[in-house]
Parts: sequence; structure tokens; C-alpha cells
Amino acid sequence: MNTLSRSGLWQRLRDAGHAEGDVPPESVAATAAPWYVRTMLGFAGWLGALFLLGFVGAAFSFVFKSPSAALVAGIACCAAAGTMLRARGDGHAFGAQFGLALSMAGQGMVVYGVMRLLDGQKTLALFLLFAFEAVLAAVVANFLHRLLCAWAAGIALAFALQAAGVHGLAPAILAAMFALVWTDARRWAAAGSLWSPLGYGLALAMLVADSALLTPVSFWGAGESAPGWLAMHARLVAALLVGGVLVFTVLRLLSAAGVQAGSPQGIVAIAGACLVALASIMAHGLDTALLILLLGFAVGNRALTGLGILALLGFLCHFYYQLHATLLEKSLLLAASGMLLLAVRLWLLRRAASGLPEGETV
Amino acid sequence: MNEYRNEVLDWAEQGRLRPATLSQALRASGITPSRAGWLRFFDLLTLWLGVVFCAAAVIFFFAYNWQAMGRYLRFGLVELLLAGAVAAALRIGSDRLAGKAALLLAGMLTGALLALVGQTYQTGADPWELFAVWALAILPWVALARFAAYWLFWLGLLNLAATLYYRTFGGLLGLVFTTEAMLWTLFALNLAALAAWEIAVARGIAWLDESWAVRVLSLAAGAMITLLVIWAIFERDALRLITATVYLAWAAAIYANYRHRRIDLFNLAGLVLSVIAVVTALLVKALSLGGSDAGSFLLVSMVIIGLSAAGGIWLRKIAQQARAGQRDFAAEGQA
Repeated sequence: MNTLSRSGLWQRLRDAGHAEGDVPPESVAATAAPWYVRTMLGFAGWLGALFLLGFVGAAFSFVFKSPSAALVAGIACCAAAGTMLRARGDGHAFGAQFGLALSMAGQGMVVYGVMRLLDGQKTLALFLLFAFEAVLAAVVANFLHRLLCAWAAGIALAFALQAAGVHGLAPAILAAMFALVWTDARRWAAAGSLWSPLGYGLALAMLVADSALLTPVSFWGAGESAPGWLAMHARLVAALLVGGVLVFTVLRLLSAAGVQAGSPQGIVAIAGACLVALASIMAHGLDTALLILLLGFAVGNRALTGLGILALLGFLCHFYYQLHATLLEKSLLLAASGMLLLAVRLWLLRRAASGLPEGETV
Repeated sequence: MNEYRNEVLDWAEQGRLRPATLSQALRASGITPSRAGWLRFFDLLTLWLGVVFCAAAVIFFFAYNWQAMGRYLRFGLVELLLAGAVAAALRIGSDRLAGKAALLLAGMLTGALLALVGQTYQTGADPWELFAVWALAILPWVALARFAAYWLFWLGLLNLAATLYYRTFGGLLGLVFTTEAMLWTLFALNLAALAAWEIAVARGIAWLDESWAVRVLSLAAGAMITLLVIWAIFERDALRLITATVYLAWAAAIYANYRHRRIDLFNLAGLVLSVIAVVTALLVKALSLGGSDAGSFLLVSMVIIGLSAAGGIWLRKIAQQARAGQRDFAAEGQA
């Protein structure tokens, strides 16, 4: 197998008309940390933030006695952290880690302050927190910080919609944003330092939102005496809307790969997406997991693909314990899906073996 | 060509690649999948998801415990499906992926059969025995399949059996002792598996050379020993000296193997995180936190931040060295 050198790769791109000019110099950013190093840094930052909060609580006890003081202090911390993280960038490790921990501590204080100040207005509080986290995610140009703020913003949005009584919408909104990020190379590739962390954060938030959908409606206590239609059919709404996002994603991927929607492969792909959407009505979380897996593979991102696989496994375990359908019904759904999948595989292999023009031998 | 993923994405971000043909450029660089890549993806997805769904369907069905279905019918059904899976595996051959999938299916159905036995005959067996017998029963198929994920599944069964064993006997030996014993058992099990796996790969068993699988084992072992050390720090009755010695030995082994023998940043990152957790626990214990000593909290926070930042720098340096080493190697190869 030919291992292409860096300049060889550039040459190839230039010859194909995708680039022009000389080989770019090697840049520091090219050794961006892999996802597990970032996870280590993120986890350590979170742990540091906890102890920072302990410090604030011990040294400035008035902060936690008064919600407005906590709010002001929190915003101040986030602002200070923001300037540290913006000024430092990725090169200065200690400053970046301290800024991260300070920001997370500040966010903790803000959450405390807002939730206490707006005690009876949970929906408003959560929407404000969503806006706050979204602003942080947009404004502070640090990968890990953006990821964590996007994740928090997604969670806040999901909880806010639940509290507002608009059940089932959150997974779909998050899924739509997730798909918009990862189906457009101009976002995730050409503007990767902004959109990539947002995309990861959205993926994580989607998984939380899906789980949140399963909590009983009474937890949200939105003041309804009897649950409305949306509350009763949250799972149905979520499954169909996320399924819609899945179909949209499949269409985008088909056109990017140059496959006609009307061709046999196109029809099978779209039909498959629709079936997944329908199955997800009973099999909660299946469409979300497959969306993450599909897009993760489409952008060649191993971490995201791995997350999709984990989400699928998690869905299966969860499916076993979900109570809204009997094990018999679940078993039948799984059997039908499994056999259908194997049938599709057989069809794919037959097409490849017969050497049809659009296909390539696997 | 994925080694240049970060480079190409950098070029895209710097605007060096034409936006209009960006998608094609990414495909040409091998960053996003080609047609063949997609076909392979769907081939694998439909196969594994299909097989797992079918196996899960059977397990769910027997968990339903349909009273209307007679005993012989149930056993007959499971045994028929099991025989079918084995027959398919033999027919297709364990070299082909579909054959391995059939062996996995057979393995999972064995679990359903054993559960059915326990359910029907009320043997009084404990849950851990189910998983232990299951693991023993499917060992030949796992060996035959020569498939990394299947071995991980098998080790997962052993882990479950061990965990449930200590859960079962918790009442007899006291909760504290059993948790420690369970962690030690899981640590030993996963570490032994990791060592065996690495040795096998070094001996040239190519199909075991899956970095993700090795990382899962390493993560499990590392998590266990880290928990044990933190436990030992806070519990007076724990085997402190032994635990500390084992921890240091484990850390040294991880460092030696994944820094010098071959470079695996994942394990080194895990090592850094483990050290941070242990140091934090030591400090918390030493400073007797829990009171309102503000300075102690700040100190611990700064230590965590400092260690993680230093860890990040160290890992980045190793990554850069590794890349430089690879480039030299490649250049030598082309010279």
C-alpha cells in the first residue's frame, strides 16, 4: 500500500484542482490533541472546578448565602476565564486548564444563582441558562470549553422544553442542529474550530435529552393538572421528528456521494431511514444512536463513530428495561429488524457481486 | 492516509482548499469515505446489527417467559435456532465475517438456553453461575471465531460473573471486604487478559491487533486499581502497603509498555488521570478536608490543574515525537 507523504498529498489535491500554491508549512495546530487526551483534561478541569467551588464556599461564604451574589460572582469568574482562554489559545497549558476550571466553577455559581432567584419559574430559568451557555460556547474560542458549554446548553434547552410542557421536541431540535453541523463540510471542516466542538457537545446533549425524555412527566411539574397530548405522546413525537432528521441526513449523504435518490440504493437507504424512524417509536433512542453513527462515519471521525456504537449498545440495554411495551413485543420488533437487516445485506452483496455499474466490489 | 487528517482539516480551515470542491477534496484525501468505504460500512453494520438484534430478540423472548408456551416447545425453539447458527457457521466457515457473526449468534443463544434451563428447572443456581457456565460453554466457539470483539464479549461475561459472585456472597463476608475483593478480582482478571492479549499480539496473532479492544481492557484494569488505591487511602483497615506497591508496579508497567515498547497515548492519558485522582485523594486525606479551610481547597484545585496541564504537555510531546518518528521511518522506507 502506498503511503503518501504530506507533500505528495498536497500535490494530489493540487492536481485535482482542490488547492493551489506551494505546500503549506507544518503548523502546531496539526498536532491537535486526540479525544481521550481532551477527555482527561476536561475531567481534570471539572475536578479542579469542584475544589475551586469549595474554596469559594469556604472563603467567601456570602456567595452561596445570597443567590444574586452567586450570580454576579459566577459571571465575573466566567468573564475572567473567558479572557484567559481567548488570550491564551491552545498553546499555554496551565492557563488554559485554569481558565477551564474557573469557567466551570463560575458556571456552577451562575446555575445556582439563577435557579434560586427564579425558583418558581423553572422554564424561564432554564431558558436563560441555555442562552448563557450558548453565548459562552460561541464567544470563547477554546475547543474543550466550547464542547462543554454546547453540551450544557443542549441539556438546558432539553430541560427547558420539558419544563415548558413541550415534550418530545428537544431531541429533534438537537438532532437537527447536530445534522446541520456534520452534513456541511464548510462548517465542520472549513470552520472546524467553531463547529466541531459544538457538534460533539450536541451529540452528547442528544443522548442526555433522549434519556430525559423517559423521566416521568410529573417530575417537571409544569403546573398541568392532567398531562396534555404532547406529554402522553412525547416518545412518538420525538421518534418521528428525529426520524425526519435521519431521512434528511440520508438524503444529504446520498447527494454528496452522487447517488440518485430514485436509484435502487437510494430507495433502500431512504426506506431504511423511514423504518428506523417508525421502529424508534417503540425502540426509543435507536434513531439518535444511528444518526450519530452514520454521521460519525460520514465525516471520518472515529470518536463520533465510537460514540454512535456505544449509543447503540446503550439503547439495547435500555430497551430491555423500558416498560412501555412487553418483552414479547420488543422481541418481535428486534426479530423483524434483525432479519430485515440481514436481508438488506444479502441484497447489497448480490448487487456488488453482479458488478452493477454504480456499485464497486467490496 | 488518515494520519494527515488534522493537517488536511487545518488546510481547510486556513482557506487553502477551494470551498466549492471541499467535499471532493476531503474524499480524495481519504478523510471521508469513498463509495467502497460506504459499502463496507453498510456490509458490517447490517451484519453485526442484524445478528445482535436477532440474538437479543431470542433473549427478550425467553425473558418474557410466555406461560402458554410449553416446556418442550421452548427448548426445541432455542435448540433449533442454536443448531441453525452453528450449522450456518460451519457452512460459511469461520474465516469469513458472516461465519464469525454466526458463531457470535450461537454464543449469545447459548446464554438464552442456559437462562431457560435455570428458569424452567429452578435449579437454585446463583446468577453468577449462569455467566460463568455461559463463558465456559462458548469458549471453543470464541477460540474458533478468531475475532477480537468476541473475546471482549467473553471477558465481559467473566467480569459479570465475578461481580455477581461477590454480590451473592456479600452478606456472608461483610460488605466492605467483598467490595475490595471484587475490585481486586476484576483488576487481576482484566490485567491478566491485557497481558495475555499484548503477548499474543507480539507473537504475531494479527486479528487480535485491535487498539480499541486493548484500550477497553486497560481502562477496566486501570479503573479498578485506581479505585482500590483511593479506597486504601480512606479506609483504615485496607491493605495499604500492598495496594500501593501493586499500584506503583502497574503504573510502571503501563509506562514501560505504552511509552517505550510501543506508543499508545490512550493508556498514557489514562495513567495521567489515575495519578491525578490518587494525588487528589492523598491531598484530601492529608489536609483533612471537610472543614472550612479555604486554603486547602485552593491548594488541591491548583495541584489538579497543574498536574493535568503538565500531563497534557507531556502527552503532546510524546505525540509529536511519535509523528516525527513515523515520518522518518516512512522517509527511510521511500529512500
